[in-house]
Amino acid sequence: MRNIKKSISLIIVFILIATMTAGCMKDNPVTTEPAKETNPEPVERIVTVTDMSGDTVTIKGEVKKIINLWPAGTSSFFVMGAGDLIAGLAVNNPGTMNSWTQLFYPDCVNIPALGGITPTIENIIKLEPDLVIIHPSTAKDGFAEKIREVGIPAININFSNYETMMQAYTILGEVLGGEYQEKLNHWCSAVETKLTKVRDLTKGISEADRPVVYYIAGQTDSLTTTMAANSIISDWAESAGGVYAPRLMELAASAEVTSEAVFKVNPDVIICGGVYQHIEKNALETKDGWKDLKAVTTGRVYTNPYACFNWDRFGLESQLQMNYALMCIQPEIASNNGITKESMINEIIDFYKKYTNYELSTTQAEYMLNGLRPDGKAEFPVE
Amino acid sequence: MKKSDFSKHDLSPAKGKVMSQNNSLRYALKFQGILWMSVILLMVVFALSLVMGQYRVPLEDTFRIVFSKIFTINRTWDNIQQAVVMDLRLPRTIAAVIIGAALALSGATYQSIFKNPMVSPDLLGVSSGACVGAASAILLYGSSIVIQICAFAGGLIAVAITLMIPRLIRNESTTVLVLSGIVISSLMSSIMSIIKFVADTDTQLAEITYWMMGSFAMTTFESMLPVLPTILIPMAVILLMRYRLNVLSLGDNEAKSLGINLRTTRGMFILCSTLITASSVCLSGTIGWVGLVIPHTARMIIGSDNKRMLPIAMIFGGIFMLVIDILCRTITAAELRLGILTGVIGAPFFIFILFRQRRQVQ
Amino acid sequence: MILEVNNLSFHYHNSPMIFNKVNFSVDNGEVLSILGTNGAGKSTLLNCIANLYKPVSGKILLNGRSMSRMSLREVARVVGYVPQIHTPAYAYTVREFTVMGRTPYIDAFRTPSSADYRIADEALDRMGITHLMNKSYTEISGGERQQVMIARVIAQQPKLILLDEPTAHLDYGNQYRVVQMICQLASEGYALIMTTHNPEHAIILNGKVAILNRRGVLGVGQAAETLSAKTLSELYGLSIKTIYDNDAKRNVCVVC
Repeated sequence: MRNIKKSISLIIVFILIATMTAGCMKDNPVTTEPAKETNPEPVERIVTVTDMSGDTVTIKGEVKKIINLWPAGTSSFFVMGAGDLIAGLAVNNPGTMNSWTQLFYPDCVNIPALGGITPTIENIIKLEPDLVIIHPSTAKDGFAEKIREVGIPAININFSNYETMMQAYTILGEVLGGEYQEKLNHWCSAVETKLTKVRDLTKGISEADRPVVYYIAGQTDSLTTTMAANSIISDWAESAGGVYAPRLMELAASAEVTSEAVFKVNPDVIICGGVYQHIEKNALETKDGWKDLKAVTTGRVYTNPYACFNWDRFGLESQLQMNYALMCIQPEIASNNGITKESMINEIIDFYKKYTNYELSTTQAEYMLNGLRPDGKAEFPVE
Repeated sequence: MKKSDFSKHDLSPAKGKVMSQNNSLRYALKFQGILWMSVILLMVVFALSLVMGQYRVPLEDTFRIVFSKIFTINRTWDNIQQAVVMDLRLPRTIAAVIIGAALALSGATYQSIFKNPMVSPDLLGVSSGACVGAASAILLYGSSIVIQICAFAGGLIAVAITLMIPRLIRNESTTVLVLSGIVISSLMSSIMSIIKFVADTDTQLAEITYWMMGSFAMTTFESMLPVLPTILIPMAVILLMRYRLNVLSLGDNEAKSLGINLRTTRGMFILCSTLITASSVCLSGTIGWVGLVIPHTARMIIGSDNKRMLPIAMIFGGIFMLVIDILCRTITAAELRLGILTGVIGAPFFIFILFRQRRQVQ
Repeated sequence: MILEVNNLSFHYHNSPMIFNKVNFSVDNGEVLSILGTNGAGKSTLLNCIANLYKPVSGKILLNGRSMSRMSLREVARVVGYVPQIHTPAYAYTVREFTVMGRTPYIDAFRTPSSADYRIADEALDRMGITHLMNKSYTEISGGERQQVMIARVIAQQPKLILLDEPTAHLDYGNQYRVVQMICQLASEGYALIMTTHNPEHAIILNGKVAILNRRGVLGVGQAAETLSAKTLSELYGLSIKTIYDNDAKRNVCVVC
């Protein structure tokens, strides 16, 4: 029975692909057909990897079209200059891609939108991907298995902190090969170096001398939405010599906390992330109660840079967060070790030159450092 | 025929009359007693709500801060303590009392109009409509005032559609009205699913969930003011008209034969409860169970007569909501959703009430 | 004349006529018993007079005023309606239930005054059920409920009382007591109309009788003359005899 079903679906798939290709060829007179003829590859590339859910996945041939259903992983492709590989995203409208992404890869607004994180298999087949990156939350539902059944490799590159990010990017590097593998491997060692350096610099500070750091997620205008005690935020905040406030609050999951809980810990440093960062910072300085917190009265409220994605969260740009966090949380140690605004601007320029092949101007890099868009405006400006 | 023919088993009607009148007096006293006791309890819980919280404000200072708005009191507290009491605790405490009372009142009203004690204020689709309104506004990146307006409009539109269906099919019986309420509610939940599917998982979905589970975390005096008239005025109207609820609960024909204009009276009650519920959803998101459990509790304690039951239910609603809100913001550092706790506390409590009622019948 | 019914007709939407051009009248102290088979439309007729249904044509006059021109409240002060016994959704006490009869006199924004409660208490006293006053209406027996229902309609102080099968669901003894009560109310000057399935009740009441047949024709007359063995046999499709009983001093019906 199963075999019959399989062969029927294979036939359907074949017909579909055939019609699709025919359609594409009509639409686009310059097809890849001649390219194939001029570039015949006798030996097919075969890679076998074990993905983050422990599945062994074999990928045959060059990976040139990827459907990425994991939003947290999306920015990585634009940052490593691999925007061309993306053939579909789990978004409703790629037109809402942020301005930094549009700067690095203007074509991002034309990427097919698949709506949700579980598009129909037919929709996936239609886009003829060489690889599908699933959303980690669908890994247990056998969604990857279903995609593999129609002959498309699917992998899970789930990450939730620096360690898992290094693992996941190593896997992705193996899958993509070539230039990208080189970049991703370079990234992993750079993160390791920077993380070790920052941790070494702050190793000797006693718990009592560490400033309490509160982080505002900034996806909405709420001042009380923060990330769990064991999140990646705590990873960089504590590595950079701080005490992550949700650890004191015993906050097990990312959530909205009570204002009183924040007042109780009375943080020394507040870092505002997300698109609302400038609004948050302004609110902290004007709202009763908040404006009397230690961090606000001592002027230690910081916005957090972002480009394709928030530095403070996941993605390749999180490499830049280590030094930035040190600058915010332990400014003295940072400046003693040559980490200053100027060095950060150079670090930003070097980073995007290396991975994205994009040369940022000093002004642009400075805007980025200040949590602004390439045009120097805030995503959500203070009214 | 003699009167005694009808009451042969009653040996001395005169004595029975005296006894029963004593009973009536006892009833009135019982009502007064319960009323004042619950008012005192409400005041105690209100004070507790100002005192309790994660941030420590000394008891004395808490009241000094509150009264410093009225009297001149030497300042012995700092700015943060001032903000905690006046900007965080006071607005949500007041909001909790009002919303608790409002939901209990509109729940009791619906239960009377629809002659069914299992009915909750969202029967005609108010809450689900308001959720759709709020979620659509969130989806379109509306500001919080736009979200409030959309929630309110969504609730009213949903009820308007519900009320239109019986007219369209020319059957204005209560059954058809309830049925169309069910249809509209499930239609709204389907739309809600679509919105949730389309929403940005990282940002919008969280905010939509906020609406669906309810919270007073965002309540400020500024956010409360615009909805106060649409809550308090309909509440006053229902309270004044509450005796008509008794008559309506007897059934359409009996109410009519007692001289009640069914259409306008019922319409008035539906309009008022809808305004109340939609406004409360605006302020705090949807909060389940209160409208169902509290009227039951009040009925169990004071009896079914809406003349007495409604004021008691309102006070109980305020107390219940306050207790829930205190728990929500003190159990953990995270802000718990009201809907979670009202469910966790409300559902077992409801089973207990049903159990007690069953025993009474036996 | 308290009630005059002129050429009254009624049918439901897109349905055949239930009664056609019906005429009758009831005055103070008179009882009209409406007899008819199941589904003949007795209750429908009663509901039209109670202002619950709108007749298709014809006129109902209350004290000479057209009912269609009166407000519901005005009608409720003249016409009291006693529906069939049912269990309400909420456990009101007997006193709370009785005082609801005062509704036509209470403004929309008010609750019953102490005067209203006094009238309700008097009505309970007249029915001899003061002892039930604080009992829950849902917990008392069917007979007691019928008494409370009548107490409520007395508290309503109407001129005309309509009773929809007041003896249904009652035991033999309670049926008799209710009929006696109706007699008593008539002697106090109320005009009464009731529907019933038991012709003997009409005989005992010895007032007017109206028989509604399947063709929607209403025949009205005095009980003693109208309720002949022939009429009853035709109505119910049985052979029924009426025998005069010396002890009861009235006719009794026997099915042969």
